[in-house]
Amino acid sequence: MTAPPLTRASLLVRLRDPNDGDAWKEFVRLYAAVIYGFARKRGLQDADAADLMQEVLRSVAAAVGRLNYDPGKGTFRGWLYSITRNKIYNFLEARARHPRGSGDSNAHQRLEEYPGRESDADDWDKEYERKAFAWAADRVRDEFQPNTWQAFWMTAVDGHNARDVGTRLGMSPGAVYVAKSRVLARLRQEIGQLPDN
Amino acid sequence: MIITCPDRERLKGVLDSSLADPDQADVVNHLDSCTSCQAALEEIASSGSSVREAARAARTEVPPAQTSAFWPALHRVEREIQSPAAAMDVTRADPAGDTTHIPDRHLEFLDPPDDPAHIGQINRFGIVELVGRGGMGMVFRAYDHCLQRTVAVKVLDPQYGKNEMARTRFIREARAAAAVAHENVVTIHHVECVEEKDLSFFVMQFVKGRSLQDRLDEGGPLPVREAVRIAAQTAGGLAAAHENGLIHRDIKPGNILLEQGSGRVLLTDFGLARLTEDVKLTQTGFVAGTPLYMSPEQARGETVDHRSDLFSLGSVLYAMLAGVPPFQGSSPFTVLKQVTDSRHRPVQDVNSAVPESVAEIVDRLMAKDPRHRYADAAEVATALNAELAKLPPDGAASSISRRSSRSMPRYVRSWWRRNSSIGLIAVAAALLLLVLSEATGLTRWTLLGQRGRGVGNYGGQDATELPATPTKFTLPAMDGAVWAVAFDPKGDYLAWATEGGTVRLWDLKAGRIFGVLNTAQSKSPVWAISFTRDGSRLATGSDDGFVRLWGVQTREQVGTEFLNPFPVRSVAMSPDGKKMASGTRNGAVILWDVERAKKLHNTIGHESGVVNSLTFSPDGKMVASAGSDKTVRLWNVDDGSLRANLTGHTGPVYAVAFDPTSQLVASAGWDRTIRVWDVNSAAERSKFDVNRDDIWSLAFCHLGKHVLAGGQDGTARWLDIDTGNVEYVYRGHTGPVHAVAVARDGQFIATGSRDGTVRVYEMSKP
Repeated sequence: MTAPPLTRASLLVRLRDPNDGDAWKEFVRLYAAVIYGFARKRGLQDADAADLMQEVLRSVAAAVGRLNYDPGKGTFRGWLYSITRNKIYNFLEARARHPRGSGDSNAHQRLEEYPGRESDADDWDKEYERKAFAWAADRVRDEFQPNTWQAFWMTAVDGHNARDVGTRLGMSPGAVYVAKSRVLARLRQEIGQLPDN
Repeated sequence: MIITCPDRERLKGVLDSSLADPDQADVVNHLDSCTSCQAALEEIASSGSSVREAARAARTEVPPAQTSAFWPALHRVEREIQSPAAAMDVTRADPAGDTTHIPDRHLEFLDPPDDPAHIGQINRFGIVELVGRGGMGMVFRAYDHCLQRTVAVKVLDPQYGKNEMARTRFIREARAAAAVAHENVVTIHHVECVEEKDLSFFVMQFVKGRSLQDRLDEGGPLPVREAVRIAAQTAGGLAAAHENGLIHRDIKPGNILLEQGSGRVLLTDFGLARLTEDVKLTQTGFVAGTPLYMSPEQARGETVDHRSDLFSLGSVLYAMLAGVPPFQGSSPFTVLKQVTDSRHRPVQDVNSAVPESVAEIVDRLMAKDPRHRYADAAEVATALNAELAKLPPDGAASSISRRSSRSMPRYVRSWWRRNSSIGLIAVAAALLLLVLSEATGLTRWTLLGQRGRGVGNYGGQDATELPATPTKFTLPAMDGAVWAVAFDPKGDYLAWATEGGTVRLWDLKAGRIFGVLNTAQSKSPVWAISFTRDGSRLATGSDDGFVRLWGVQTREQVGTEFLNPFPVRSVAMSPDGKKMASGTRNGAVILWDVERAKKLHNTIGHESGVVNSLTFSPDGKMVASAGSDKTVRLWNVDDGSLRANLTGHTGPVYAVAFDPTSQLVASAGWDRTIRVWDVNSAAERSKFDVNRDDIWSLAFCHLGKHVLAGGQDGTARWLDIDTGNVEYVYRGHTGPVHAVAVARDGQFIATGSRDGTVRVYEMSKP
């Protein structure tokens, strides 16, 4: 491991300081991916989803700096969700209002279909968990031997059985299980340092 | 071998490697066959979290495509976070105004927000973000909770709000502006003063887009037709305002908004300039702000009428056509002096592509004596719209207009004839072959007025001013974005690979599909393809992490697959066909022995990010890799050692190519530059800024004199690497060009785009 994982408390403190670029950089890729992925799943095109992601992160950065975010009132993840949801809704609403400029005749329909609160929040959580996994995987991968990582990936992600993977990689099935579990444990730890986890 | 199951503590010990070696071996052996311990171990590892579910879901999880707008947006955000004061709070402020960072306390007039997503509240308007700041106040994007719509809220700077006269005038002017209803004028919804807080604000239509100033800041003149279109719509909006007795007084590029998507022009800030003048005059006795577009009578401080706006409109049109304002100087005073005393330089002297009739309109608008200008804005709108009707679509503008006023130089005529015939052949070929042809290719050609004027200067001009070459074939969309194109070295086939995972081969001589590789079992996006030099095989690299080799004639897979630890983004075959390089999404570069299907060396590569592009040097001794970590790296094939780390790009590098002599490497990417590096000294030889957008792909021509660069803007540009001149622009794609290739004999070039099509152009021979 290159640097000790930051503790949750210190991260939240640092997140509040808009001049502390490093705290942001730790997470911005993750949040960007979650927001973008969620917006795409809500029917936004690539460029619009990217714009929206940028907007959300800008307003988060601004709000964090102004101490508008109060951890006591809810989770960071939930707060990010409310901002993203509002912006998506506004976007769809604007589209529906000005279909000529955007050429998007489906906007009305998508606006009407905009999911109710509960399923929407579930989708957000799912997106968050998936992107957090990918984010953590990118960060910890280099800590492992290539064989260990492949054993993990082929079993846990691709769903191959340990025996086949072992044969392919020249490892015993037990060693494959150990490799898989070690990576899982490390990923859990990495994901665990995120705020709200 | 132990028969009894290890307890929980020992399983934990295996996980954190704290067991003694023999004990560890025992437990691992036991895990070979004991399913309950296997499950227990995983249980401990994930300890109640959802990490295992997330892992299973990751199988279908694909990061945004390499070409997605996500990546540039992410980089912008990251950059802003690095310098929050520069970008986070003040975005795209009025360039004439104060753009310094506004401390939070200056936003104290905002009430606390009702919605956590907002930064504050003014009455029923939830303030979303600050979008700009001018001399007069701040503009916010806001949400009207009552009418449920996004609006722009302009708040008068409190220093003006305290001034009774200013406030009265503000209200009066804003009310007058609110009476103007025209599609080219920003609609004002609402004006209000909150007396107890000295707060005056008005609410207007939110225009998503950017100002003409932002557009001009990109450098270079606008295409003639675009400039005339913007001026015509501005004149239309002005006419409506003048009919209501409203004079703008501050027509400048910063007050002309271009709506995103539609390109509609919207004029904003009517009458507000007067307010600033009043206040500043009483405070300082001098008119501040930008005098660049002021009329002479305004500069002299005389009474102005609607014809003052016409002069300013003329100055704006001039700036669009020339790329620079008509009068420039080191200080506002020298500019004012020129506005009143000097005649502007003829716009055609600055941009020869401007037709005589358009130049005449500019001259008449910019007459020093208001009586010599047009009578009113409606007349100007009519004249400009008449010009617009005469001008051909963008790209052909310069040619037609020049021919009407002057005879074509001989070399231009011969160029025209030569390419006309190619165009006819292209049309005939298209009809015969029943492929979708670029029908508009014929009308999109442009002629260059004065080629060679200002060597290396083309980067500053708009691409549409340059000659384009007609498309020979357009191979239609079938399977999503095209990520890779390649000519086989013999010149028989063109191959291309898509997001949908198919790889097709096109027979160049017969002009038809030769075949489709049998990729049915994988179906994951194919990012890269590379032919062997004898043309018998083709390597494909795909998102599932495999590089596969295919027989070109059989279209079936041959040999073993090459498994990479991560999705493969780039593949290159060595010139002798014995080695292969693959690059992955996580930065690894792997060199393979093709016959033995084994790695030649340990994995090398970039510390982080994606390996976007890979290529072997033609002499087979080196591999160059382009990474998202902003570097280009040169590797020695013999031992896998790093030969050079080429740094200088300011963003991810998307493409890298060797020249035929293996002496030069070209690279390009997110930072929009093309850089040419000297291999031996590892020094940057030259840097070109010829694209206004990200560059996704590069190829050297067979002679090594030119590179072809495919970009986000949907074009491919043919650039002379010694002079930096862009000699041809290949266009027609409706999406970013992700892949380019030049056939080995230089006869054809091919481009592949996110629009799902591949275009083949025939090179015009000199």
